[in-house]
Amino acid sequence: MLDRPHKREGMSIDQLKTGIGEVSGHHGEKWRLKTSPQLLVQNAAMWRDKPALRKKRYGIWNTYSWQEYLDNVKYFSLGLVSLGFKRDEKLIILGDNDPEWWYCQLGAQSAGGVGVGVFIDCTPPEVKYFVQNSTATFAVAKDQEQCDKFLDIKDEIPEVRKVIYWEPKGMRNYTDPWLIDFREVLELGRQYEKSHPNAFEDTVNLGNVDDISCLAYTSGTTALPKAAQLSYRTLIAWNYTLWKYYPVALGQDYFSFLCPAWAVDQILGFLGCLEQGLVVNFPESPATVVEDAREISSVMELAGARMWEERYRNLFIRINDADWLKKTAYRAAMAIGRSYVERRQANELNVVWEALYKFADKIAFRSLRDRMGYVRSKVCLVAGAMMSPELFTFFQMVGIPLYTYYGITEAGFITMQQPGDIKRGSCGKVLPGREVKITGRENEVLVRADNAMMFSGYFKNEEASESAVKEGWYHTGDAGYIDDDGHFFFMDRISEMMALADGNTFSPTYIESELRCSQYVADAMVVGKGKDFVAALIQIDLKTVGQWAESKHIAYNTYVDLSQKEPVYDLIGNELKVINTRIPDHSRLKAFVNLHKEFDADEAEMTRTRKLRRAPLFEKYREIIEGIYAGLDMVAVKTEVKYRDGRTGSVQAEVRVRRI
Amino acid sequence: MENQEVLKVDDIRLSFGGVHVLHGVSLSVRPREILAIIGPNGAGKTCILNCINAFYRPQKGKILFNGIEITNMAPDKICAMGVARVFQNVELYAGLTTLENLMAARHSKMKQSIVSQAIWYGPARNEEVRHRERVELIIDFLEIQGIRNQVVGMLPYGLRKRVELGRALALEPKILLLDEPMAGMNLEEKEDMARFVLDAAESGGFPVVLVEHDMGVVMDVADRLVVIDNGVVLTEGPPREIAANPKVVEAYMGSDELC
Repeated sequence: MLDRPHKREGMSIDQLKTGIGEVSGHHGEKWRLKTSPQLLVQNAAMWRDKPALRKKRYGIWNTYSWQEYLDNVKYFSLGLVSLGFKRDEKLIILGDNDPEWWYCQLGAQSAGGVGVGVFIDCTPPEVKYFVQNSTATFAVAKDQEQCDKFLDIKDEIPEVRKVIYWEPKGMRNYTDPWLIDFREVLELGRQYEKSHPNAFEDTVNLGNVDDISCLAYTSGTTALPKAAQLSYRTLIAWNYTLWKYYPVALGQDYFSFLCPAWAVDQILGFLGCLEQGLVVNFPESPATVVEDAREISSVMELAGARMWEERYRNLFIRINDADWLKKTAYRAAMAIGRSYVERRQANELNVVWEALYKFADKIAFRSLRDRMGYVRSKVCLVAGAMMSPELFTFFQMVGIPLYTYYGITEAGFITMQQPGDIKRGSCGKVLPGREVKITGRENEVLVRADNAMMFSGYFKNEEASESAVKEGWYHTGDAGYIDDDGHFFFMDRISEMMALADGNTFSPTYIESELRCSQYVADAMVVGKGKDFVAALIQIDLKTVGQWAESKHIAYNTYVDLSQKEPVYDLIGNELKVINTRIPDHSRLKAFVNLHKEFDADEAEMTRTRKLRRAPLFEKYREIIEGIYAGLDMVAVKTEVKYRDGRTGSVQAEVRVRRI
Repeated sequence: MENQEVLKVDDIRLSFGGVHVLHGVSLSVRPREILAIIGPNGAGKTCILNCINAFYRPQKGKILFNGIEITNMAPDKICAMGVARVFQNVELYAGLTTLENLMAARHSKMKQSIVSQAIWYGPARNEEVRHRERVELIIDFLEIQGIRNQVVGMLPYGLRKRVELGRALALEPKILLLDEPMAGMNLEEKEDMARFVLDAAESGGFPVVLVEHDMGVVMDVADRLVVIDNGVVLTEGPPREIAANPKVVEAYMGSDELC
């Protein structure tokens, strides 16, 4: 049996099920599915000194070979074992994108354990919830800040035996023996190996592809986050789904910048890169992501719509600051690009348009792609659900291979746009091996897929697992429809769909994504449930609106001040008029308010993945919302502000209501 | 004990024409301590720092640094001895990047001649790499990687202050003089700054002289306070004692806000 083919492009569902595949071009030779530690051992044997990871430190990209990767994982794993970590135990990890994050998770998996990633900006009570919910017995906290969170709740989580940190800065005065340096754990591992030779290899070989590899927490817009259990087989199967349409190859670069706690980085980055031999690159610090991404130019990327919205706004700022020559080139290229993309979708391209687009690419788009770090990009996926079609067209124009998909943590990719078959606003066609059924008055999306592609239930939550999957169909709680050509269109979460007083339903999420499409709007919440019309609470973008105000010689001091300026209301009002033309008649916006503060996850206004939490938001801004429907022009508000360290303050302001 | 003091300011008097600014100020800085100088506006706090740096020449008294008299030395010599300073108003090269500003601070430590530096070959090159390494450690320490290649003039105030602290650290100071490092900052920036100063002092093993108005910061950070009023030392002691001293409260705040 061949351990690894030279080229793996696709794998059928049968092959994924049996775990044994054939190699194209190698008759009769077979290979089998492996767990991530097994893949690592195998890769290190094959590619020893070839680069596996890269991390920018002190301004320089440092490369780590597969052998170094393996050594770190091995000794960390043995170190954990010597500290008492047992099979099936959970290791909770709280940190940024760093090689150590991956060493830790792989170390735990090598010892037969499970990795649990947690968002880095969690508060101590949230950390406590994740620790208790996942029954973690060991924790990894990146640095002093994260260690402090664990120390805060130490008494409430006696089951955690050690907290391991990998960034020693500022940790000199921490004497609590509960804390231990990552390097010390490595050293313990080296000692342990002397007395237990082959212990690492033995436990790695015990691993099975159907073991749970990690717990991925769902984002929890409506309830507390639930931990979906994902097996190695499932994660690999999802990767192959992607590679079938967008192949990637050994040695290409992947840039890891999404929070590793998110299932996405687990799928693409962690297992995908091990399976396919990609080099994983880590940014120097969260502040340098943009610059580092540009230097690497990741071959694939999966990012949220909000990230693209932010990129669009940043691009807009740069273009506004450019000289007239660049501005003219940009405008000309935009005009050509828009027509080109429209014609391409309608299959009406000819030689002239091809040439024109090439020209536009030369004068503007190529440098934009370079500026954003997409020169080597093969595929960028965005959850189609939340992305405004307008923005999508823009990035297509620029020549970024951006495709939408529909997927959920529990079942991976379900539909995906395929090159050459793109429809405006759709999330692509249903992928092979998945079935989608639309049921009920609410158009709920039900998904059925082979076991190899489904999650293995929620951890310690049989009840939720059972209610989610009925007769083999997973109830997504999303509303959507499939058109005659088989294209899937996502509407919204059913729980988010709202009805006006006259019974007409509308999707606030959709309107919000259209609003965020304006470069001046950073975020928005749409209201109107049971009312006569739809209204929006707008959070202006301080950077772009600030730049606009400067260019118009409008003086302002704070966010509150800027947001309430009359000209800013005019500006936003005009934006909304344009956006209204893209919204169905009955759900057009009739009024809006510029909020006096920004939404913040620390105040539970949104989830850590930046989805709005409507119920608390509604309560918080009740005065304003009631004011809008009571016909007021001005509403006085006082809002509690909570800082990350638990202190509170309050913001007082008067906000205007503008009718359109 | 003479050798227990890193810096000793002995009875200095300073006046500009007929205006007497300092009337015999004495203070000493012990190894590894954080000494805060507080006092009302115009009390002469910054003047003391300026005398230490030899920007001003006191008419009387002397200043000893590690037992060597520096009262009449040239400012650059004092700097080369390891007296680093962060100014009240940001004094950086606004047109250079963060990295260039920090590298410029290393200039006093560069040994190669201008010619070999211009050719940038062999020893000159090695030397620059060595200095760059130090500078990168500081950039990492202060978490300013994101602005490494940004022009300092375009940075927000809080970050410029941080770069300025970085420049002082690049001198590998034996004592660090900070003149209102937290003025004009928001709470979060202040906390960051305090953390950086404490960490730097502790890992570098040098004492810090801090002139600061924010009493909250001073009470949290300083080991010892010296209170100056009208050019004389009113009192000195640990923060708790000073905060309870009615004389200080009276002179400084005119109220009981100090605690």
